[in-house]
Amino acid sequence: VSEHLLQQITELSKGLDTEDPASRVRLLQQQVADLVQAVNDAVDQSATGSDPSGLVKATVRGRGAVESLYISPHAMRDLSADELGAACVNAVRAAKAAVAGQIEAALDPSLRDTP
Amino acid sequence: VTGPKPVLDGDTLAKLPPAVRAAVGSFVTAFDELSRERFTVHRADGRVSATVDVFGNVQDITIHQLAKRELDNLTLSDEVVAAIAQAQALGRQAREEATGAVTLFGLALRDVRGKDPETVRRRIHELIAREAP
Repeated sequence: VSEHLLQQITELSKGLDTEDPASRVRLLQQQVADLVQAVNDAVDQSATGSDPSGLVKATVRGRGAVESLYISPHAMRDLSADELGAACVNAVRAAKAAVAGQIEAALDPSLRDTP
Repeated sequence: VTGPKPVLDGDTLAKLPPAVRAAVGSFVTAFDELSRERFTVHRADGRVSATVDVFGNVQDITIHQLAKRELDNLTLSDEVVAAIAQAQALGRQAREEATGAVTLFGLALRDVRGKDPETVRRRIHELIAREAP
């Protein structure tokens, strides 16, 4: 994410090449506002991930809160208590990785500008 | 045991103005210490527990055999979610307490959170003017 933010800041600095100082400021303000909006929209997203067996699923929001978790009846039957705990951790981590990917994509100008 | 990578190296820190250096230094120290802490919450009479770090990353979930035997899958799922949420809240609280205690120009961060930036700026200028020789 930080890499994409740096790209965004580089994009913002291009706006400073404009001749008219007032236009520069307006352009920069608009670009900063767009970036802030993109970041806010991105962290409000959620994504779902599952453990490798697919028996436990988790949905995580961009700010890290676990929105929901689903332990399937199969998981209850087939996994030991220890395995079930590990499956929950793996599902949450997979969901978190998925939402991080969504946020990066949302902040990537090349992907965001694609129609 | 290797700790987390320092946020700022010594050279970078040394180049900052003294007042800012002290604040940044205590901020970094607070986060270094916090990043090693773990926050655990037990639910369902201790049969379900979740452990997270200060950033809310889930480090461990423990489910006792009795929980697996006595709770249905949906109830157990909800207990795990609740344990994680409560553990994350503990981590968030610890983070806010530690970083809120950091002071800059005599102002604690906890006292400026959510305040109007212009009011904070004026207050900092007043404090700097008061300390100036």
